[in-house]
Amino acid sequence: MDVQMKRGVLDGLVLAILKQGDTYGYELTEQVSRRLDIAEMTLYPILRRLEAQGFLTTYSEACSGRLRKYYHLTPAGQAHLCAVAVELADLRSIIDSIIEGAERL
Amino acid sequence: MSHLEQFLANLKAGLTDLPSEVAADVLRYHSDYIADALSAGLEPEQILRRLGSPEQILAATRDELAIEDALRKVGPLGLLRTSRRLIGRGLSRAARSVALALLSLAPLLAAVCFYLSAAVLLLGGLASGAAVLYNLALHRAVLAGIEIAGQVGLAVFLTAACLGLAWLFWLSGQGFARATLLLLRKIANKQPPTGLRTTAAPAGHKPVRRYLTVALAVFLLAGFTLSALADLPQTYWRLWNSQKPADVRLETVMLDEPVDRLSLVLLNTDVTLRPSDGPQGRLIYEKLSYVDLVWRLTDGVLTLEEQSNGRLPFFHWLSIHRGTTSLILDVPLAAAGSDLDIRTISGFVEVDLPCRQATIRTSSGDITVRRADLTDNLDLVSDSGRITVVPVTAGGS
Repeated sequence: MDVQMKRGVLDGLVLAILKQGDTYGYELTEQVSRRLDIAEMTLYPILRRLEAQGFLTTYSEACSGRLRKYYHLTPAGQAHLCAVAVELADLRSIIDSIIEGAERL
Repeated sequence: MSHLEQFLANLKAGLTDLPSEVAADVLRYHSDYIADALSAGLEPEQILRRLGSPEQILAATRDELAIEDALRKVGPLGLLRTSRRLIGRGLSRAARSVALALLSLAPLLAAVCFYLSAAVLLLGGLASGAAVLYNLALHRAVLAGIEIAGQVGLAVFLTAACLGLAWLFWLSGQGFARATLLLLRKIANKQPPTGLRTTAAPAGHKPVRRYLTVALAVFLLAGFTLSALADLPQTYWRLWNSQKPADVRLETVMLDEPVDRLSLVLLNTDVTLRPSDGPQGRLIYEKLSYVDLVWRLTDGVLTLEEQSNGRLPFFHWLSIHRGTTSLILDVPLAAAGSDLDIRTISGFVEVDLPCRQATIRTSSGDITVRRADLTDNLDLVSDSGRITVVPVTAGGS
């Protein structure tokens, strides 16, 4: 998939996963990569930007002898997720018509 | 050193030009990731493949930081820094150098303009303070203490305000100059523009600079307070006096002694001096209700002073009256002529009697001296009026 498109989708995907519950970097990456091919890519910059935009907050929790950083979705993040979902739904109808058109050829 | 340790070491080495807080965060995220992945049972090679190379991580982090930065710092410098960073990507090295060179012209121009403005403000501040003080020195004889304080306050305020502005402009110039230098250095080093650079962190804020700032602020506040406090009652007084019709009375005083020296300190009063017909002198004065004329004649010295008569109970104003009155003096002269010392704020002065020596000052009125005996001994100053001297031979009769 195109890098720009992947980036746009990634934001929404990360927010959607965090809506299910708070989680930490590795687990989040695992969940994302189950749905989207993000081989050779770190989620760090995206998480950092989403945090700077106020969509995420972080907190640390002790786990097997060290502190693990958890990510939590903020109300602003939820609102952004809704906005992204609406946009993607619009996009889906366009995509559907493209695919339909391609299949008819 | 294992591959994973090598990975973290490489990552750390590439983070040196990022702010330490960001660098620590990046390292922590990835070492956490590795620890979690290991405990999930992944092989080091698998982990490394998933993370990508340190270079990829650094590049992606810088890209996101540029966007984050742009979101946080909207302003000329933020815009510049972000565009500089974004231009650095996706352009060939030569094209990047040209773009940076063109880009560096804008901050260069801005820096020059700011420096020039700072210099103009610095000179202007000093000059305006000096001008106020000079004006004060010219009229100090007719000003009350509080008015002098107000003028000094105004001078201090003007100077401090201009110096403060000059300081701000100077700092802005410094900022733009720094941006220009950064851009030029990028071109010279032929380096791709790297990520965040903490711009000359003012970590050890110089104490001298802080004292200067505090002193400037104190002067600004003190000067403003002083001039405002001194000006407030004046404004009120002028307003009050302009609302009511001036109550003018004509006062006549007979002077029985001869006069050979005159010392007059007046407000906006026109003065006419003429020789008396007889041995007795006469003083005709248009008296406004809120002004008193204090006069005495001792040992041939006639002293006149116009003063506020205390309609404002706690001030002793001299120069705040608006209305113009007139004073006519018929002076009985000693044989040798007379010495004159006349100060009026803006009245006209007309002297029509022989005088040995005269010091006359007015701000805006005309000065006319007829029958001057010795023109060398005349000291006539009118800030904007006309000065006419008619020598004794020409004025005749």
